[in-house]
Amino acid sequence: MSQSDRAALPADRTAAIDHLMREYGTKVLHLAYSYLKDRHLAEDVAQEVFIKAYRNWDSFRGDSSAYTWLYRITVNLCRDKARSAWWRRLLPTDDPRAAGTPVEPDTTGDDPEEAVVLSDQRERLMNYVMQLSDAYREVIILYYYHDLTTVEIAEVTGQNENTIKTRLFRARNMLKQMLQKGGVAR
Amino acid sequence: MSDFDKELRQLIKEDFDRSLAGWTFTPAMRQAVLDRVTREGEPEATPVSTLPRRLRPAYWVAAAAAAFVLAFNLWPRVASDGPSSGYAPGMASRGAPESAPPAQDPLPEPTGGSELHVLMTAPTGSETGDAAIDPASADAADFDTDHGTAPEAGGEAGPGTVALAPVKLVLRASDLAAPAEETRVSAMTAHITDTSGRELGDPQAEGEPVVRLMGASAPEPLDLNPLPNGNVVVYYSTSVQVVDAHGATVYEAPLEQAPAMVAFGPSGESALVTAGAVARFTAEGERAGSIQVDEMPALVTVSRDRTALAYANTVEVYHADDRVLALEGLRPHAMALAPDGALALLTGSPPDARLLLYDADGELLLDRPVAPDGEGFGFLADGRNVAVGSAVYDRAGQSLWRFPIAPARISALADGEDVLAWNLQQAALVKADDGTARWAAEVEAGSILQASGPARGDGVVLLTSDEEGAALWVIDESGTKRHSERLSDVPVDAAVSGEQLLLLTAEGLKVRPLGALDPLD
Repeated sequence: MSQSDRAALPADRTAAIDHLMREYGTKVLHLAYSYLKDRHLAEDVAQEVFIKAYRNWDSFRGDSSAYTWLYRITVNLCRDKARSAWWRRLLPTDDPRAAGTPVEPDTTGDDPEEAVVLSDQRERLMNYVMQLSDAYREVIILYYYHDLTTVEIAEVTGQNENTIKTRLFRARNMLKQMLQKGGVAR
Repeated sequence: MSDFDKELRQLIKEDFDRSLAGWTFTPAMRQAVLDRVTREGEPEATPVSTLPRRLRPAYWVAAAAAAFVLAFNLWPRVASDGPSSGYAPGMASRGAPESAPPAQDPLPEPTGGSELHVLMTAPTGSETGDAAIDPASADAADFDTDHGTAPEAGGEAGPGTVALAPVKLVLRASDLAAPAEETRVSAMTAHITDTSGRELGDPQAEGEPVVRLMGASAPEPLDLNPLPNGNVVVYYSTSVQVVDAHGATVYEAPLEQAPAMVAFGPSGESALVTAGAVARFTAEGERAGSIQVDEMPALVTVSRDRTALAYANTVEVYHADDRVLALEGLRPHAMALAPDGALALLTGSPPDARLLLYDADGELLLDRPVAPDGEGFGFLADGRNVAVGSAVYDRAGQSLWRFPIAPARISALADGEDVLAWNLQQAALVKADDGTARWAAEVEAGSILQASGPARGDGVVLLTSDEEGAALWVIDESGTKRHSERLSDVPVDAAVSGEQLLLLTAEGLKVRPLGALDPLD
């Protein structure tokens, strides 16, 4: 989406937000869930995203696409919530680092058995993605599920593009290891 | 893109779509957003009247109405200040919102910015307890009218019944001063400690406010847990520290591994989950034992000397470090332990959600369908009742009362008398035995990040965030604001012990007197 997309949206603020909710509501909902792992709260956050978008509509100039703008709001809201301690009381972080077992990136490149690994482990893939630490899960979901480019992910997350590329590389290899070993990479 | 990448993308999409199938941003959610923004009006875009501001009729009407309401409310108090005025006896001494001088708590019109509204309060300590609360101010919440009726216009409160006019205390974060730490920290004594908590700086002069900062190499701060004895447990990635209300370390236990999850019991006991073990801590914050686990549990709950762990298909219950119960074929979404060892599980999803209740020996006491309207789940009233969303049942499955909000989380407070319920927009403190609301509050702009209950009658701490940052509110049981301030960053956690506010931030634990930074005081 580009500046023309802003022009393509209804001029009226409420109508524009309504349009965005119809277009991106479910994507925003699922993105919030990928951070919060809690459907009720993801629903609350998704609604809050559009309320915030409404309030800040004037700040959306169309320099970025509407969905990256919405995703950025979503990511920031989810990060705020996830930062507070009570998430730890409810949800295991499943962060391999927290488990005291660092995961080294696999630099061997494409493995001919990768396809077999994937087909064998597909039932567990979603669980494995959700087990990744926040920074890695974020790039995996934005890249593979939401089809964002690394440039767009950098814009959404406020990170340098090279950082995103590195995280994507590592996260991809963590997933590969988890698929091969059948669980959290340890 | 490699073949692996392509297949990974396809599988992730398929997996996510299958996992989240049918879960969409519904028309009801869309309508809720539209209703909300319609109520708020269009910010900065509303056409401005060409009349000079002082001549706008609405201003004069509003001013006249405000003057009338002010005069109406002040008159009976000046005249009698007694029960016949409809003013709750005893509330003044308890610092209830109605007793607050208007100058300290103005009631500005709601606008943007983070605002916390105490929508209603019930009188504290009213043994007869039938507070009549006008549900009209309770937003869309279904207030339990079983516990009160709307006050009759102009009527007087009868014996045993206190008619309360709706109290709407507006706490506006945008009225608070900018984050005070930058300006006030220089006036405080900074106690720099090393990673073990040993102090490196000069000892604190008595009576001085304290800011305790961990050293640059400090481990990651994880959580706070106020204890009934006034101490507070501080969880770091490498240790567990018990500090007193002033932040001085009284006990410390190193951790072999960084915990992935912390679970708290109603009396202050806790459990830390790591990759290979669940470390148990007493209500005094000291290490009690360790349960060895082969895999990370999905849910953990603790109460006194019992710990329950839920895995993909099993629930295990431990007494101290010994497994005493294993319930196979259960995959609960939520789980709670009562002080007597009873176990409550929420299984399935609506419309197939069920509440299961087992006694301490694993005998099934109750299996009934439920329709949770929030994720809040837990035992109340010393384990006699169990809350599922906003509904509260007894152990026989009889519906007893409902929370005034749909809670995302509930916490039975250590005194056993009250329970704190909250979601992203609202929080409520209610009596655990009958659901009478002590107060309910709502954030108009922004959201509640966290609500923490008091350990021994201290204030409830609410952390909120909005576009400007974070704010912290401390509200006592009568609904009176004890403290409010803007924060530069979202803290990890906050707690109150006595008259001290403890803030756990990325930099470490900061302790300061309650109310010291409130610019409204």
